[in-house]
Amino acid sequence: MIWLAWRLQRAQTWALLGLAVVVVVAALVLRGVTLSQVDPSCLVGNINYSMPCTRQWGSLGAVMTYFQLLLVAMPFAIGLFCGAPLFARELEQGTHVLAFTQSVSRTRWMLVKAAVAVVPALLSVLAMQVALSYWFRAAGSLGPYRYGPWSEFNFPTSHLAPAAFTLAGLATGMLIGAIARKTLLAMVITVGLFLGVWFAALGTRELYVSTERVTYSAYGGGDYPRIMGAQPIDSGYVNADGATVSHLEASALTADCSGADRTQEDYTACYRDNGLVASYLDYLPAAKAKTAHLIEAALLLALAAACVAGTARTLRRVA
Amino acid sequence: MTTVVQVEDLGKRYRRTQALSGCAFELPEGSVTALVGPNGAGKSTLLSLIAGLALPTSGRVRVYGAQVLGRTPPQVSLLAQGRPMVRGLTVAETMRMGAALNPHWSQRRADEVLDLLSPVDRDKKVGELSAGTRTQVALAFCLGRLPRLVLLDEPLADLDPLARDEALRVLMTDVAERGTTAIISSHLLTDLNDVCDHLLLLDKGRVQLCGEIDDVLADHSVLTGPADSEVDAHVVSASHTERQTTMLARGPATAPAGWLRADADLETLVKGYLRASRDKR
Repeated sequence: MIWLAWRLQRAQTWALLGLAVVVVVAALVLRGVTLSQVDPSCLVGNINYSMPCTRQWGSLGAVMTYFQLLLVAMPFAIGLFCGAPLFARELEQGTHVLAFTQSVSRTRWMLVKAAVAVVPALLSVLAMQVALSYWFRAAGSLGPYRYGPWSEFNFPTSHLAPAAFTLAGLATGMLIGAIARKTLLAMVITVGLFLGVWFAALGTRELYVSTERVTYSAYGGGDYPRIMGAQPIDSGYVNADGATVSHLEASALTADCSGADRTQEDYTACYRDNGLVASYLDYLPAAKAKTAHLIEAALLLALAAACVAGTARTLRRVA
Repeated sequence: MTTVVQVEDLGKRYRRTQALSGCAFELPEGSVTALVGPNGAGKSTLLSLIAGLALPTSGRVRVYGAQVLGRTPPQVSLLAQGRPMVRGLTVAETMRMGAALNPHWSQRRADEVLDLLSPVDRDKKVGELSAGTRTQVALAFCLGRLPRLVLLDEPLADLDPLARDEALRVLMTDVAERGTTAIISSHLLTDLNDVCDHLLLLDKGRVQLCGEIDDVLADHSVLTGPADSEVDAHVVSASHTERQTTMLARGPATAPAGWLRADADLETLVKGYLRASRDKR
């Protein structure tokens, strides 16, 4: 039965595996290019924007972003081209009757087809993720990882995120296909729905873990804290009672603090006189990204499981 | 004689449409039943329910005594309307598909069917086959499962007379050799007349007639007489010309003076019921 499921979806599978091979080879080649083109001293320590480094770096940053975008788009593509047609095509062409009137149960047939779609999809995405990560790590402080694990492209392309999004994309497409029974319609709905899932994940992952707070002088100036890999969430001022004051409220309170010849000490004293004793920054530390990944992956897996159960239920009712 | 199919008060509703209601009949082992009725009578729905492809809204279907519950019984094989097959698979791959989905698959039986008429090229894709050859492949797929009950939904549609004859020969060989029970839905009465021994006539989702064809025919007669005169009989349908009236009558009917009585044949009988159905609409 595995042979049959493979035979029925081998075109998509070959395309997927072919794309993965191309990306892996490209990542390895570009890693070599990065290391040979850019002086090693540019890739270590703090971000080096010196002229020789930026000239050597050239457009590598943009190329890395394209590859990251490709990895971000993979779960969409898998949901679109592998998930949505998995059952929609059979139901549309009426060939489901062939499978549904044989000795194997519909649920078993569905699980085998889903498994045969999932395995190459996961392998492709994981291979791409590993190869790109190998390349990006070599790019050191000039590579995309300088933005930290919470950045909008680093988060969905690292840890469990690509695999979890792939499973959710495939399962969502599968369910929509079984319900819609029209391949094209299922593909359109899958993309729309999965975009919703993606943006919901983007908007909520900061809520999975608690923020940490750092305070610094009321008039920030050069004191603004730089925390490696942190994701700023909120900032403002703290008054003498320890309560937070928003930037808008603070600007009204400190309207008289401006002046051409004022020093930072003057500003700090003026802020203090107006009740603002410190600035604060709430942020998500880099170390907590792993916890957020685990929670997000668990939620996406739960979505995938619900979609698989929904597909089984839908197919049981198909005549 | 063993009852193969037992249908009790069977009903099926699709949203606003009542496709079948109150259907009840039994079919014995080894029978070959012609399932006939006008378009939309519920023939395909009935076959789907017997095959376990669809779930009934009311009543039940039993095959060899076991209730059919949303799964095709191991003894049953369905050749669905339009002979759905994966067009991108070769004939050999289609047979391998049958083997993959059925633990008791007989490749020998499938090969026998594929070679019975002009041998089918196993390496050709199903989508490239002629309608007749595709039917042969569909029948091989159907019979390779070694069913004891074959359900054929419009298997002869789109086939030329020679291909129709050949498809029926394949089927009847199986019936003769293995004692297979068959239900064949078709509008082609002349073809069915030669191979079927039972008749199941559906109209508006209800069973109008069910029984051995000989008994059913014996219970009907064709009366021909002058126009504008009446007879004392249960008239199923009547057609009129300026001078003459022809009636299909059910039950005992004696021809009054001036009338001719003839035995009904299958085609006349079915057409009479179809006409009556159309006139009621």
